[in-house]
Amino acid sequence: MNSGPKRAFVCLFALFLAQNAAQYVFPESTPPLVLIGLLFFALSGGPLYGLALGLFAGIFFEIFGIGKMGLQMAVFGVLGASAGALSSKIFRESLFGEILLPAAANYFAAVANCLILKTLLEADPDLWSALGEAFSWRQLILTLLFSPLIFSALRRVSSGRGGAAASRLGVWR
Amino acid sequence: MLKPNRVFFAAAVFLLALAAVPLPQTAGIRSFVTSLLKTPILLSKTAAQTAADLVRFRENAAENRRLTEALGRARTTEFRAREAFLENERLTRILGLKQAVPPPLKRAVTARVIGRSPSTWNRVLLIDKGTRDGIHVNMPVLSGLSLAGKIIESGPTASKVLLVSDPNSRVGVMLQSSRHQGILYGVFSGGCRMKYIPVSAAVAPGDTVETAGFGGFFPKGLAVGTVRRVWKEPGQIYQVADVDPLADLARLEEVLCVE
Repeated sequence: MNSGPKRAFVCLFALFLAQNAAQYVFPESTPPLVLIGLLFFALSGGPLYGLALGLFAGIFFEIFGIGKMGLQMAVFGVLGASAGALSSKIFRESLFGEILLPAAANYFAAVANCLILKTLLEADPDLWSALGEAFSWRQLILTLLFSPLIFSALRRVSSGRGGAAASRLGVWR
Repeated sequence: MLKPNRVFFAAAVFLLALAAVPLPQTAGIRSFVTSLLKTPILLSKTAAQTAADLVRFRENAAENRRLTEALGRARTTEFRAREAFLENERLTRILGLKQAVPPPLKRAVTARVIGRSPSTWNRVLLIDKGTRDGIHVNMPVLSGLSLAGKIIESGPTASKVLLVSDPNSRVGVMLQSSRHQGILYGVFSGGCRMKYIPVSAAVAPGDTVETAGFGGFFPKGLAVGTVRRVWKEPGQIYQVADVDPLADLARLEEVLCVE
């Protein structure tokens, strides 16, 4: 494996450890560092790269899950692939790419998990109540605050090689 | 060059195959991944905990003073409670009643929390004790003397605790004062809720909620939390109450696994 993707996988693992550690500083709500990192790399690499990274990132959340495996991997895989598909339309350094997209993706992940949970526990899951329950001001503020910081740090770490490496993986744009 | 459609199809098949894995094997896979990640998680937690302690040293010192004072008061209360307990035991013996409160817990294993579910939608802890230390699935987990959750998966050196505030958690509980029973479950946004309280029951904020002992998972009489607010669900024949857990579930560092 060339250094670009390897670096992305290592960065995601480091972000997972950081997110786990961040709970001791923000016990009520943790910034979604892994998700922000995933979007950063997916936006530069395309949908296949995003999918691969999303499935990898999902594994970390699977270990804390209960019941069937694969749900978190699916949610993160879809997010990675979707962000990758937007890579030709969204500039990574733009306000949308750097701040609004992570906030929207985090809300999507929360809604998806809420719906999955409700589907497993209740016979008739309600989308509208899931939209309300999944919304958290704390999460939104933390995402908006941390997203530009993580993007800037990852930009320095990856130094623009993610795109080149991803294209070697056979990226579909 | 990879064909995107084929890759997406392969990923979907892989995820479906993963979802089809039977639950015991799923637990085995999770336990294996957990044991691989245990050390890095523990290291990152220790670093963060040390940094947080250093930043909050003033707060911690004030808390230490507060707790020392509280301990003095608690000793008096404990003395009175012990007296009441002994009296209760005597009277129960005299009346020949079956003991409703279980005998003191048979065994307790103290474990350190080494990780927490990093997502907001589930509340699961990772602890540093496993089957080698006698931890097994369904053991109640306490923080202090109040219920925090139960063991849901146990590997050789680490186990997973499902907190009472997780939306998947269900605990049979009752109101300490009125003895009305209900089911306690976690809500997505955090915290706990008690359902199925009869409309006739008088419930007030501050009422203590404890385990009811049915179902066999949790012993009767373990404190769980206090009622914050109560309301009647429209069109339903029961009341619902928001319950604040007594244990500070967001900041647990050590827990007690008991049986």
